[in-house]
Amino acid sequence: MVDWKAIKAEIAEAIGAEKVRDDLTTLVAYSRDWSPRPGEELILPNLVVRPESTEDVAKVIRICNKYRVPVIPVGGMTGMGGGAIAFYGGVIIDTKGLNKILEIDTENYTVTVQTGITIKGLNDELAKYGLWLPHDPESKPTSTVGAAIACDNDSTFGVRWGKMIDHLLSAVIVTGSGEIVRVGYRKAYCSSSGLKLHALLVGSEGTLGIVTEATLRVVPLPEYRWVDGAFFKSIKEAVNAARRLLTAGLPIDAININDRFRLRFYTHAYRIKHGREPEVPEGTQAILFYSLSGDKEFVEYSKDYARRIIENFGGQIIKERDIVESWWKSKHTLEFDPFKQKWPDSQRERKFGAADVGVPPGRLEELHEKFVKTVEKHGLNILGMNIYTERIGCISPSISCAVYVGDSEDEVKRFYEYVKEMSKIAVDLEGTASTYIGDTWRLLDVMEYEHGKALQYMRRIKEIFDPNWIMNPGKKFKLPKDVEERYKKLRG
Amino acid sequence: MELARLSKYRDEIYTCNRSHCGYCQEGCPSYRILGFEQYSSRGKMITARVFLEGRIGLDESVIDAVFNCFLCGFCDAKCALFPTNVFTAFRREIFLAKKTPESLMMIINSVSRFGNPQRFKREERSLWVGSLNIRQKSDTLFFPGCIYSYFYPKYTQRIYQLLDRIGISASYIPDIDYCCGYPVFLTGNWEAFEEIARANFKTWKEKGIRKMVTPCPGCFTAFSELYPKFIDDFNIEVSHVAMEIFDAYDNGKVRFDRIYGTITYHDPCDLSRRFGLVEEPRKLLEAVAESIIEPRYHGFFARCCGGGGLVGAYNPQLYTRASMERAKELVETQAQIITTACPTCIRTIHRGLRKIKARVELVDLSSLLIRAIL
Repeated sequence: MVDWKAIKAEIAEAIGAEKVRDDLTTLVAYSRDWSPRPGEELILPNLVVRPESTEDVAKVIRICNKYRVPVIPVGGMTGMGGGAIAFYGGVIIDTKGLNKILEIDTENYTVTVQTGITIKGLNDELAKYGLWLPHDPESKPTSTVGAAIACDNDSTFGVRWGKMIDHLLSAVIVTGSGEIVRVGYRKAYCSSSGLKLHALLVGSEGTLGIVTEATLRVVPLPEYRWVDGAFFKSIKEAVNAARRLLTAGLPIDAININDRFRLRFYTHAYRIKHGREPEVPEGTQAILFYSLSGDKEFVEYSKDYARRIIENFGGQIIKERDIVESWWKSKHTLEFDPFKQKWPDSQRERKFGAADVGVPPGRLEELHEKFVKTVEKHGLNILGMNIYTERIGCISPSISCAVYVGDSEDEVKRFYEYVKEMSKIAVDLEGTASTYIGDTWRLLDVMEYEHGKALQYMRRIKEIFDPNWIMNPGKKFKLPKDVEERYKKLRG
Repeated sequence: MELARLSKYRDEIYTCNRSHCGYCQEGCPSYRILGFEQYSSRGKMITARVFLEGRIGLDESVIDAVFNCFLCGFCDAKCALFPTNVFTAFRREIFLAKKTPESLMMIINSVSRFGNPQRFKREERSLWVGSLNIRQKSDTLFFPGCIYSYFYPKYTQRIYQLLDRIGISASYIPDIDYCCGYPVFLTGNWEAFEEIARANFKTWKEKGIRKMVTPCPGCFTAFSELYPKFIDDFNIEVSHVAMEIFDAYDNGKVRFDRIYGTITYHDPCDLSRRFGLVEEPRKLLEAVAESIIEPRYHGFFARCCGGGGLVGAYNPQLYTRASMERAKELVETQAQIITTACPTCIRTIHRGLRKIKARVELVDLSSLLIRAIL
C-alpha cells in the first residue's frame, strides 16, 4: 500500500507545504480536461503539486520515482484527448506555477521561458517588443507553452510558421528518474550535431518527463493582416486553389478549409446580427478561409492577386464580410460573440469532439466520404470537417472530423469507437491517426496499426527517459503488464 | 422572493464541465495569486457539480474556494454562462448549511447593530456633511453609502457639490441613511438582506423619494439589480453619479477645463462589467486630461482591485496581494494620476499603492472633475 500522507509530507518538506494539496476540492478541480467524458465521471488524483522551478519538479519526480507512483503533468488542461486525467491516480503536477519569462532576446529573435506560461501570456509580453510566437492554438489563453510542446497541438498560422517543432530550439526536461537534462542547440536555429532529442519532446505527452524550460524562435509581428474566404463546389477545388495561392508566393499565413456542415459553427454572430442564415451559393461543398500578412502595401496588392487565383480555380469570393470576420474572430482573436457559439455556449447539452486525423491532400475527398458514413455508423451527430494546414508552405492537412457528443457513458463510448475507426481509416489512406490531439489513452489500440515495429523502438526510448513507467502512465504506450497490475492495485 | 439556488444553475455547471476552456483564468485575481484550479471559475464549477451530485460536502476546502472569490465578474466577461451567479448561489448554500465563515457572519451582525459593516457609530455617518448646506427635501435622494460616508467625507462633500453644480437637487436625510445591505447579500444571508432592503424602501417611500443617486457601485448594484428582485413593487429610479455627470456633460450642462496631465482610470468591476459603464468615464476624463493611459487590463476586462466579494474580511492576505497586483498595473502606466469611481476601489488601491511603496496621486473621479469645471 502507498502511504499518500507520507508522500505528501515528503514533497512538502522538499518544495514547501503550500505547493502540495490533497483536500477533496483540489482533487476534484483536477478531475477533468477538455476531452469528452461521461457527465458525472469523477477520476481523482491522490495529490496535486504546483512547483515553481525546475528544481522543484525534479525533487517531486524523484520522490514519486522512489515510491513508483504515477506522475501526471498538466498545463492548461484543455487537451481534447484526456491526456491530463489521472486514470491511475497519482500525483498531478500543475506546471502553471512555472510561468516566468527568463529572457527575451530581441537581437536573435528568441525567447526563453518556464513552460507553464500561457501562449497568450507570453505573446502579450512579446508584443511589447514587436515580436510574437506564431504558434496559435485556439486554446491559447489557457494552453501553456509546455502543453503545446508536449501535445504538439495545432496552430492557425502553421502554413507560414509551422508548429511547435519548428519553434523549439532547446529545452530543459526533468526525466522520469528526476534527472535534469538540457536538450537541443541553445539558440541555434539549425544543427547537424547529435540526435535531435528536443524534437522527441514534441508530442511526447508527458510520457518522457516534464519540459520545464524552453527556448523558442519568435518572429516580428506583421504590420497588417487581411482575411478572406471563398465558396467552392468541392474540397478538391478548394485544395487546388489553396495550393496555387502558396506557389504564387503570396504572404499567406493561414489556410483553413471547412466542409459545408462546419460553416454553421462559425456563423453564430452572423445569425445574431442579421437574423438569418448567411447566403451560400447552391452546390457549395467547401469553404476556404485564408489570411495574408506582412507590410500593408504588399498585402493589399496580394489580396487582389489571391482573389484572381481563387476565381480562376472556380471559387466564389465571400462578399458578406461578416461571415469571414466571424470565422476569424472565433478562430484567432476570440472576440466573444462569435467565439461563444463555439465555447461554451454550443455545449449546453453536448460537447464537440473530434477525430484529429491526417491524410495526404489527394485523399481528402475519400476521407470526407468515409467521415460522413462513419459518423452515421456510430449513431453520432455530425458537426463537420475542418482542414487546417499546418506545415510550412504546403497543403498539409491536419483534420478535425468533428461530431457532437452527449454526456451518457454509452455515447462517450461510441464516440471513442468512432475516433479509433476514423484513425485506422486515415492510416489506410496513407495518413496518420492524430495530428493535433495526440495519442493519449484513446489511440492505444491504434498505435501498433500505425507504427508497426517502430512502436517497439519508441517504447525503448520511453524506458531510457522513464525506466519505471511513472510518467503519465496509460497514455501513448500500453503499460507493461507488471506496471499495469501495480497501478490497478494502487487505484484500488 | 426566491433567487436561484445552486441547483437552478445545473445546466451552466454541466456546460462548463463539458467545455473546460479555462478562459476565465487569465484575469482572475484569486486564481492568479492562489494558483490551484479550484480558485478559478472552471475549478469552482466542477466543485459545484460534485456538490450537487452529493459527492462532496461543504467542508473547509469548498468554503475556502467559494469565499476566496472576489465575485469580480472577470469570468462573466469571458464566458456565456455568467459564473458569478453560480458562486453567489453557492454562498447561499453555505449560509443555509450554517457554515458561513465567522468573519462574514460578523458583517451581518455589524450591519444589524451599527447600520454599517465596519461598526462605525451611527451618529458619525453624516459627519461628511460638515458645514455644507444640504437639502432635506427633494424627491431625489443622495445615497453616499457606508464607505464614502465614513472613510471619505471630503470626497463625499465634493460629490454632493458636483451634483448640485450639474443641476441635480438631491436631498440627504441623515435619519434614514443606512447600509444598502449589499455586503449582507454577499454573505448568503438573503433574509437579512431582504429585511434591510424592505426597511430602506419603506422609509424612502415615506419621504416621497422617486429617484436615488449613489456614487457607490455596490449600492448601485444593490438598488438596481437586487432590490427589484426582492421587492415586487420597487419603483425607485436608480442612478450612479458617474452616469449623471456624463449625461450633464453630454447635454452641455457642464463644461470642463483640461487641467490635468496624464491619467489612468481603474474600472470598478460592478460599473464596467455589470452596467457597461466603460466609455462614459473615459469621455469625462478626456475632457479634463491631456491623455488617458490604459492599464493592461481595462474596460470590460479590467482586473479587480481586490475589494470585491468580501475577500477583505475572509482572507486579508489575499485582499492585500490582489490590491498590490492591481496597484502595480496602474503604476506601470506611468500616469500622473490614478482615478476611479468607487470608494471600495479607492480604499483597496490605496492599500496596494502603500504596500508597493508607490507615490502616485489617487483621486476620486468626482473630485477630479469638480476641480476642472469651467
